[in-house]
Amino acid sequence: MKSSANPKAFWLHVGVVVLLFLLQFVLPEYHHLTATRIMVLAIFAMGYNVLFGYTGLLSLGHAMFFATGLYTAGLTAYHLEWGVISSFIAAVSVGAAVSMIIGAVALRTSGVAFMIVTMMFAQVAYLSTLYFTTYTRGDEGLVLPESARSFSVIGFDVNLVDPVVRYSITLGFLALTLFIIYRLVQSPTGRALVAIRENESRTRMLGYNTFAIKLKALTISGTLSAMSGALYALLFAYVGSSFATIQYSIDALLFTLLGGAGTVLGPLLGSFMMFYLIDIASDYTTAYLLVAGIVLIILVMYFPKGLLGTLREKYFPWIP
Amino acid sequence: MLLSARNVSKSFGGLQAVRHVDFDIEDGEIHALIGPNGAGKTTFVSMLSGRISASEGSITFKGTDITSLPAYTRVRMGIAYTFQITSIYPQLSVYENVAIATRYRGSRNSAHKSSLEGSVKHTLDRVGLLDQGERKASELAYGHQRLLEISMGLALDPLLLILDEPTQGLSDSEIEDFCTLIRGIRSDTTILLIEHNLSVVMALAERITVLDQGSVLAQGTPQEIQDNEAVQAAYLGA
Amino acid sequence: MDFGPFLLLASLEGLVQAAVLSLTALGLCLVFGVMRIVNVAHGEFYMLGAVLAWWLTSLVDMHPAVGFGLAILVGPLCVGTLAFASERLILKPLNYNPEATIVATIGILYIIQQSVLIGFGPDARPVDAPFYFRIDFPWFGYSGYKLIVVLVAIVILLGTWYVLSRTRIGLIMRATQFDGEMAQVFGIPVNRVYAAVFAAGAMFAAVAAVLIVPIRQAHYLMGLDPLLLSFIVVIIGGLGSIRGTIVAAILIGMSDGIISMFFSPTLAKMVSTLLVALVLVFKPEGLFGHKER
Repeated sequence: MKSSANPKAFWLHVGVVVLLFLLQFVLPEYHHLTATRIMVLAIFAMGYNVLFGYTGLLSLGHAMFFATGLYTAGLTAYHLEWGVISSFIAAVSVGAAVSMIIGAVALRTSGVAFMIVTMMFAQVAYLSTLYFTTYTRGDEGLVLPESARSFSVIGFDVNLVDPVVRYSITLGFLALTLFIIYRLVQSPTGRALVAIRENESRTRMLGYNTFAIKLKALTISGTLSAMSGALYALLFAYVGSSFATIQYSIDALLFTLLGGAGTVLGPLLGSFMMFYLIDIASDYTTAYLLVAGIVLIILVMYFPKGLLGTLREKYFPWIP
Repeated sequence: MLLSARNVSKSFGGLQAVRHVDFDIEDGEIHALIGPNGAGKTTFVSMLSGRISASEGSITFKGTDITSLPAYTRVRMGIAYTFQITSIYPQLSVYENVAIATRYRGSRNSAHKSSLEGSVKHTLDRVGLLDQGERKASELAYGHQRLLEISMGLALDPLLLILDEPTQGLSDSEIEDFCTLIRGIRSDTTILLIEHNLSVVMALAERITVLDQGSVLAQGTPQEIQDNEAVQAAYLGA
Repeated sequence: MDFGPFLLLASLEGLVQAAVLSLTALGLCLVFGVMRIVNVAHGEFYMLGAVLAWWLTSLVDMHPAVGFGLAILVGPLCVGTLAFASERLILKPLNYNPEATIVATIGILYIIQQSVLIGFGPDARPVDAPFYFRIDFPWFGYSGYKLIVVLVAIVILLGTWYVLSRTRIGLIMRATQFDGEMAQVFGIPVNRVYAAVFAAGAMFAAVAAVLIVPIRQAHYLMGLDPLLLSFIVVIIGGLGSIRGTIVAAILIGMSDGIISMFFSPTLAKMVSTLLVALVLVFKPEGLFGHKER
């Protein structure tokens, strides 16, 4: 992998954003809404990928970060009646803080222990949403009030109920996330992450402060996930416990693995593919997660690099 | 005195792997550390590089006490360690392997910090791997992987280069090339060599320390070590 | 009810919890101890035991004890067979790579769970206890069956202890756990041991579930809580240490039962979950485990 960025890679990512932009004009209404939802989840998966795909740390607790953003945005909007922008900023900030704190503790472990620790912390978070049901209404969840459904900026009124507005805002943040991750993986920090993934003890003996680098990765990863949660709460006006479950963490893993861990666009691709796979399966049975299970096993046994990862290995080594 | 260790010990539970070792290495020398299997050589050297912490004792490098400093800080101060069992990045290219190692180079060459690419190519050239730059590291022959391992240590431009059994598994001609390489770099860095291959030790080392069952058995010039009866009994004669 | 009797009641409930939990956790502990992998589908093998118990008892129209007897003998065997198959077909080809087995067992989790959803449905279904009798304490009556559950668990645990420490099979397992490579050098068929251990681990969970299902009811989602609790127990007890697992199971089972009755089940779970995360971070060997060689 050469260090200089291949221009083909840059234009590929620009192309994807443009494609998504144009897509909204041709999609029928149901798919329009679904696409918005998928893009928000893709941001979650992309955040997860920074830690899993690039740094090589398997976390089963990322729903915790998503839920942090979701609930911070939702609760400030609902109980404190903050405006959309304030809620969003609060959510991302809290998400960053939580990621850093959890990271500082959890990163003292690695491998299987790390997986279990993240899963456990996330489970505590999930149980908290049920325990403090007076504020969160637990499983049932909260629907955000009118005050959180629109905001004004620089004199413009933005109405979040409008599907076009929702789509555009989501696409904007998706593009931002793509940009952040794209730049990250090309940077020295990004290559340090890969070095840690490939051989951590070696990397430490080459002068890298691996703990600090992993903490940085986890913070970025958690913050992006929290941002995704905040977007979800504010765009779809709903917060609920189901977004803090282990199953939701597994979703991030699933989308990332399917699309290609360790690639920038992989999680986005995986989110779209899996979403529609499950959508189709739901037409036949309520047990659509059966499909998820089968996909996971096929992936891990035969296509561990996922779709984009396999393409990169065989044909397109320049895909970042 | 570039590096000094005083009364350094290491216990793992009930087992004392290194016992009260005093050790010095002088600026610019090639120093070999030998001893039978299980003598504690790798354990001792791991404490010098910071891979493991010492149970007791102190280590000084360039006048600074580094005993409680983490490994990565010691690397940045100028100590480089190459692994006994080859530890490279198998899925990355040879170029990338050295590029990762080159990031924290130049503990003293800050004056002419050449570009990353230039630096990497220079290092690869020195060990003779320049033409293999684009190959995946796992595809290299074993001997070349060993060389890559050494080149990553070199890439750090260290003040002290610790090589842990570098010639293990190499063919005779590769070992000769290795000796030439060491002679070529000795003017740039102090070298501490753990070796089982005694012909290499005798050919390269200026001073030798013999470790046996965790303690220093003898220390001196190659001739003094060869003549030492205790060493012969414990190691050479066996 | 006064505090004293209430505490006694809570303790009895905790004891039942601990008994079932120790069997479930033991299964997980064996698998991790010997094979060094984490089986995320462990809870689903538990659930399968309960569901099969419901199905098998529904087939038999005689005294509930007959159906139950069938369930406790046949059910775990079926679960063990399924576990054996998944080990051979999925885990062995992955070479027991830690990360890959976690992902694969998540897949197995979904497949088992959702298949049961399709076949069994989303409702909770009760199973009759094999017999009813009441033990009358001065302050309350208590189900005799629950106490029998505790007894059976103790018997099984003692039996397991005997097998592991006094028989050849146990010796082989302990050798494989201690050093898999060396075990192979000594001619131990490590592969077969792995398959057998994985199946055994699943069977322990299934037996635990069969024992508890007359008290709890069978439901396709009932595997998640036991999975998490087993994780907690195994980690606090020290991964791979059987003694530690049992002690931790008693501790966690009792405290979970008691806190649940005095406060809320959710709070009880939060406390134990947080505790285990911190134990893993700060004292990874748990109470009885050994530091990794």
